[in-house]
Amino acid sequence: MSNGTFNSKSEYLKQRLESFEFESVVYPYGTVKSVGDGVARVEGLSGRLYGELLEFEGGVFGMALDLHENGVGAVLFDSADSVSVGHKVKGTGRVAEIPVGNALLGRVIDPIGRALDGEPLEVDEYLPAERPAPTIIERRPVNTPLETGILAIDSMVPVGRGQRELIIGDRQTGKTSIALDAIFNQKNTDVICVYCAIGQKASNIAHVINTLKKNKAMDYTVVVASTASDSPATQYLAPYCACSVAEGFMNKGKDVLVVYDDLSKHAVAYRAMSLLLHRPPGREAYPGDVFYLHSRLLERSACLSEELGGGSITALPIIETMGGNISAYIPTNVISITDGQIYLESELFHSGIRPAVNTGLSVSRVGRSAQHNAMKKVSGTLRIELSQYREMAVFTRFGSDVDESTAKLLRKGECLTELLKQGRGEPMSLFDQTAILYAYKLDVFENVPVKKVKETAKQLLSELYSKCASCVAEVNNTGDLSDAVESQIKELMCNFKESLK
Amino acid sequence: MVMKMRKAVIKIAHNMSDETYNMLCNGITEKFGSDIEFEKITDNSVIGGFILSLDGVIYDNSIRTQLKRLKKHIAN
Repeated sequence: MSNGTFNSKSEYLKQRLESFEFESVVYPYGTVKSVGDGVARVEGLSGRLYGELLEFEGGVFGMALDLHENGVGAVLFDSADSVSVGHKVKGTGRVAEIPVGNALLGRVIDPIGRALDGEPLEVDEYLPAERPAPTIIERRPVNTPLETGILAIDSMVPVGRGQRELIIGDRQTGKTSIALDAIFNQKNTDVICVYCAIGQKASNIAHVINTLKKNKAMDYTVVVASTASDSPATQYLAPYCACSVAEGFMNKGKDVLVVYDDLSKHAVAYRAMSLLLHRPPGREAYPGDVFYLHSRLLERSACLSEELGGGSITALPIIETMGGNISAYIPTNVISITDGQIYLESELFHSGIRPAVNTGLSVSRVGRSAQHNAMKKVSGTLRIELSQYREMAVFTRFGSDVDESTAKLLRKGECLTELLKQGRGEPMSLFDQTAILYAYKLDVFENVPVKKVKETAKQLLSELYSKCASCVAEVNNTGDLSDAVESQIKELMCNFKESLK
Repeated sequence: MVMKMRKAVIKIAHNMSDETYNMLCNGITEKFGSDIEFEKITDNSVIGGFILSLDGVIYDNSIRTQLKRLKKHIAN
């Protein structure tokens, strides 16, 4: 170290020491009156904010949720072992906050803002976990597609940037897989992803993080994790924190995709917390404000106006149903809040149709305006054809005698079902999707046995890639299927169809 | 009539002399009123000074807290 810097450092220290003044630190405190089941009742400490962080003796933190004239009820974030009756509680004057910013990319944090991946986290920007949603005037209509890379979704239930699309289905129907595939597909786009695990098994979360790492998706992803063994308060806070992390990026004009996995566990954690705080139970013992719990969270997803930077938050909340019952309390609540749902069915899943999207019950209320022109051109009648096929398939299950037109309908339907099947982690580009649907439209696979349709489609794609690379680039870059490209592809496909005979 | 006493808890380190402690108590009664009952807790992590808790408010004048403040002050 040179003498100069030493001098300036000692000067600095001297100056800092001189400017320091001894000051008495005065703050209100309360005393723990009772503690149990992760809830502490504190006497004194009046004048707290709703949701203020309280510091208990021993470094345990809690959140004030029940405010009375001369006491507060607080939920604890850590285990309650070290808190006992008579302990002093200090108000921090801050509501629950979460670090935000680019430093979080690739990191795993808990809802309190602590890094869970064992590395130090250096951030200087914080946002409160609970924030008001953007106002009406701050928003603009959703009109940019957010490609999930899944053919069945991008063609029939398209998701736009700023939309809230619910993924709903029984356990083991591939809900998380769809969300993860959507995250993987954002690899070479400017979209940032936030994955929020709520009350999940730690092994599951570890598996998700490993999958994200393996697909090199962690570089643009933040994971906010609360496990099943965390306190209900931590689980309750998790999605709000994830949303604040996303808002941090959105306010900088970025497009963000948030996955809440899953909100049924969030509702259960909130129910546990509410019952322990002696709030009156309502239907299925959920408290009265369980609707508001999710509506205020999902309202924070938005597509901001150009004046505010034009960022967006797209939310993919996940709900797990029991026995396919989508008319239960929490599912209906969330369905009515979101702009559409992707309904996954275990029956389809087990019959090998994966992703197991039930196209009849899945909708996207933003719809066609969130689709590329190329996709719009080829996916027009897909939904109707598929539902006609499903109806007819049930009808003809018992008899084999069908007329020619019905047979054709059935064969086309089978072929489409086969084309919509897609493996995990195999996202399709816009060109792939457009080409396959266009080929289906031209009936290229007319004479191909159903089992070989997928294989033939692959051959067709590789032929298109080799013979018409300029078309591939044009469709992927412009998102449009121009007449010139269309006629070129059409010719190639007709030749391909001839060669199959 | 028995007057209801307010309770004040003073946390100090071991090295505070009884003389200083009494002076401290007198000072507190002067400032906050004479109806105060004192309880002394010794805790060496205070290092020096005292922490008074009275009427739901903590008045922290300990060396421990001041050192923490100093650390923050220098770091900024």
